[in-house]
Amino acid sequence: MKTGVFVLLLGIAAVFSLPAQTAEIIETIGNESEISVGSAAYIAAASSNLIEPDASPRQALDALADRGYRAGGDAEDESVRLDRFAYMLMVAHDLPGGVMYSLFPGPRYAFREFEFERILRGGGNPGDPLSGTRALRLTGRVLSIVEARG
Amino acid sequence: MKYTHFKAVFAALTVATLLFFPFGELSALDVGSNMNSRSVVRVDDTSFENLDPSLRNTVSAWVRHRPVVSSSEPTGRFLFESSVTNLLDMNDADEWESQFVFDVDVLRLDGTFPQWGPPGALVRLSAGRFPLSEPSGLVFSDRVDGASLTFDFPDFSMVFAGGYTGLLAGENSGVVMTSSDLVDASDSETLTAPNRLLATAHTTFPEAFGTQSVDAGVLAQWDQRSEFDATGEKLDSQYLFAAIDGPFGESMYYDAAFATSLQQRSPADVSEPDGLADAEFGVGLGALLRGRYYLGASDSSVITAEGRFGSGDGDTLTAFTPVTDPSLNLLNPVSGEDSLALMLDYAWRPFAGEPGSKARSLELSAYGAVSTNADPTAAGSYQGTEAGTRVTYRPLSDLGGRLWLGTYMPSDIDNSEFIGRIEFSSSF
Repeated sequence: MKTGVFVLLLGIAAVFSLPAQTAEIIETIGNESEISVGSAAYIAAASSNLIEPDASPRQALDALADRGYRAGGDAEDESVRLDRFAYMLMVAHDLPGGVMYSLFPGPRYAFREFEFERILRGGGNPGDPLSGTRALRLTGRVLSIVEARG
Repeated sequence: MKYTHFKAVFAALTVATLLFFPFGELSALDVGSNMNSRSVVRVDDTSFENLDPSLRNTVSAWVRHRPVVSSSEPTGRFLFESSVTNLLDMNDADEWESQFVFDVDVLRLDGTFPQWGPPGALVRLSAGRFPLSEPSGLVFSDRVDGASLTFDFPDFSMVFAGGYTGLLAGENSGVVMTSSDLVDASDSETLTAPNRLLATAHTTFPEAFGTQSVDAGVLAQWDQRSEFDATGEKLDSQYLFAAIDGPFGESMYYDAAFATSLQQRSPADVSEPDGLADAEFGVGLGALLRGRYYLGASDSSVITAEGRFGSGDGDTLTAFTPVTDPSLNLLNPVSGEDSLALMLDYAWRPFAGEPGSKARSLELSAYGAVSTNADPTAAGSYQGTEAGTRVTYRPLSDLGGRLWLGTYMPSDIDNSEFIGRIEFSSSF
């Protein structure tokens, strides 16, 4: 396991108790250089306890859809965009956004929310692909905010 | 572009922006809109009789292309932002006067060309209308119509840029150097900024000495004005500047900059064929020293102390005339020419250490600034003192505001005034 992924996983597990099987799957995803829509959905849904540990990426997407996530026609195995992963995390943790996110929830305003909350640091474009390490780092920051807000 | 054409483009862009709102990602294309409102009231602080309110409301729309930047292939991107500003001022007859200003804020094409430079270098080319500033902060900071070429090397970067200011909307530009420029600025029929050509080149060494960053460069501007009234003048100038900044200890950061100007000032002379007398040459000096000290958990407080100097006409030096006046974030701007200004500012974010808190962006600040002419010991040198407090709060990512209260005491105490300013901004 790469040290960075291990540390991130440890941080996430400290904030949120992950089942061992989920931790294993997330560890695998964390080592990917470019994660897929399905993997991103799994991280987002698992970090909010929306799915069972052995859930498939499809089930993770369905769990997010149940909370209002609009998939936008992305295939599970397609590379996920940064703004779409931000949207997944916003939906999974029911994060309130700004006025425009409340009116039109979607990747565009989720991305801007991530910039405003400084979840997204070091720049990036909405269409950027996402590495597993970065996805876990973003998830860790979201969990910190969720925990702080109680 | 004629204003009628511009209005049509602006309206089309705004409609397109509104239509795109409900959609999610649009490939690398993004559109948005901003609204800013600023209301200012100035009151005579002795009689409370002369109420001088003004409002400035701006709506802008933008579209940009933000592709993923490749480290090996050329990448292009663009940004187009235009705005309409409504200015409302109460005249001496207590009647509101309204003015609309249409402007293309940014129209910028950028390209990155990793393969143009040596290994490890990145070449960036920008063209169009874009913000341009030099690193000293003493000479120029505004938009220009032009081009810039940047070479980013692993240990340093070089910037070459040139542009023209005469097509900018005068109301949104800070280029004022001569008495002729001042006349134009107060003339409602002159819509554009002064005609000036600029060229600059500077080099930045990000870690020249440990963590200290060093910049050095030159800037030249040529006055392109062709008509002068009896009190007018023409001014060409060249500047050499150097700046250093970095941390000083664990919690303190500083900026120091120095600039010298070589100026050729030609007063109007109707007896001459070109309407100008022979140029008078002069050398001016400008300097800046600023320190920021962070304290408290999560750097919740910051104390900023700043001093600026711009020489005036004297026995050895002439007036240091920057192309744009320095931004000191005051209600009453301080001139960069023949000026010594000192400012102390304390800002506190009481909830800075609470991630996710909606109050995290709340900032309370208080400041005081005093300005004199370049020689503070000379009789009549005192210009004014400003003191004030600000409350800034952005509870949502797309909604924020600021309340700013201040008082200004010029040399003639009878002209002292209270100033209140309320700002709102939202983005879509």
